Amino acid sequence: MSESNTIHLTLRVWRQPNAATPGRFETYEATNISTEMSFLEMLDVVNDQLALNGIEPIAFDHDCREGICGACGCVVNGQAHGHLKGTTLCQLHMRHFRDGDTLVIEPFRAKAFPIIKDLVVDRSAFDQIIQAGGYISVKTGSAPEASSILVPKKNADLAMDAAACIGCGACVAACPNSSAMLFVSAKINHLGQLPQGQPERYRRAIHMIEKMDELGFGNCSNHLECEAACPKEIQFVNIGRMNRDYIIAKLFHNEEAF
Amino acid sequence: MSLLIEIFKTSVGKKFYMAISGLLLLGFLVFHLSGNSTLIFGHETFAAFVDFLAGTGPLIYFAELILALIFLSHIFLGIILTLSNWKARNVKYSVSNSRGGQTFASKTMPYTGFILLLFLIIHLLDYTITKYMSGWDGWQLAMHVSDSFKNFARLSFYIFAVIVLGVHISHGFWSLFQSIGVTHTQYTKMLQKLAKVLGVLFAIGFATIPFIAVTLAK
Repeated sequence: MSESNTIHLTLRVWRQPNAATPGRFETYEATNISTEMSFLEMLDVVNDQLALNGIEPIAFDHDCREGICGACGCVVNGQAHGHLKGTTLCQLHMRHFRDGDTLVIEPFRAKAFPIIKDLVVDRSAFDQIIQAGGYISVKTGSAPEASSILVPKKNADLAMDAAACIGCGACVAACPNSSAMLFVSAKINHLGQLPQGQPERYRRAIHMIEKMDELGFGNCSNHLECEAACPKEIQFVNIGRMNRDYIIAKLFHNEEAF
Repeated sequence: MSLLIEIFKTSVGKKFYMAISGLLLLGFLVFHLSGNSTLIFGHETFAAFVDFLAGTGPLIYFAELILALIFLSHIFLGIILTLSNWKARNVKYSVSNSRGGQTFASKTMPYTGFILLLFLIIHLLDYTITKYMSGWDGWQLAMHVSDSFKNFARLSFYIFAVIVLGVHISHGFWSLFQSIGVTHTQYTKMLQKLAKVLGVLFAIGFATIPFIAVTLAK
């Protein structure tokens, strides 16, 4: 095993005790950081030091630390999940930073994602959007025969691509308009590509989009920052497909059926 | 009708109308540029074209009314969408770094739109309204066009405005297809390139008009 290098960083971290209290940046030194650590492990080390010095540790969200759960995420030097393409913050390793770097660490900024504490934001707006229609209604109970409903390969692939969305909120954080359309379109297209998603397809588009608007997310200006920031590389064409479903739903489907 | 209002209430619906009005305005620009291009054949051809349009009577008034409504809805929607986007990002990042998704054109859409609105007002005052107020015929308007562009300030602002128009179109043209749901992994990339080409073509096309006009006056 090769010997690990260590680096020294200066962190400017957003500290905010709660939503009601104004926040500010604090500067901390991160010394002897192994380049094999993940970004979150680096924060753990800094927090240990802060605790030893009697300072409240930095609050940040995390769970699986394998890049699959969507819990972690903050903005590092102006980029959601940091600068590495297709990577969540927990999978961003310190070898991608240089000794002496200054990192500005901020929470995701959006009206619909209010700050809970420090780098932790309330992303329950996403749950509310899912509750509005991001599901299929099926009879639960005995498992159905796996091949009773055939899915064309192309649709299965497209659905799988959209289903890769982990709902981390980086699209909202990266969008200059704090728009949630990449997330919502991924969920709509994941189900809309599959036979099981068809009965509720148009109702789903209407309800999820209306909920998204109600929660205060912005509009899509086709900047494509969302696609560039998405750790799962969800494509922006999903947004176009979502727009199509919505317009078809409104113009060509009997709204009373909803 | 109530359905159309209902669509308007959502973000996707507003973008849909924004796209449709943008597409219609692009259609108008094609007509406007073609009409103005008659100057290439001299003042007489241009004047004949202007008189032909004026000769259609109620038709031209009706067309101008529809055009005004399209412009107003595009402007109104642009303002509403921009304000709600600003509201959605209530706290700005202290460090903001693009990952390469944004382009100069996409970033500046509200601002290029605003400049175009100012230009539109000045342009209408300069030509359309002056023509109506003065009761000019085609020939008088043709002379006025040639005279007006001898003014360096007006010429400079005009050239600046048509470049801004080109920038606006270079994002707006492909973006509108995405907003109405005409999207495809391959074709959208082609539309993005086509939008840039169209932006350049419109800017060059409109920018040549004053030079033709001034050359004719000599």
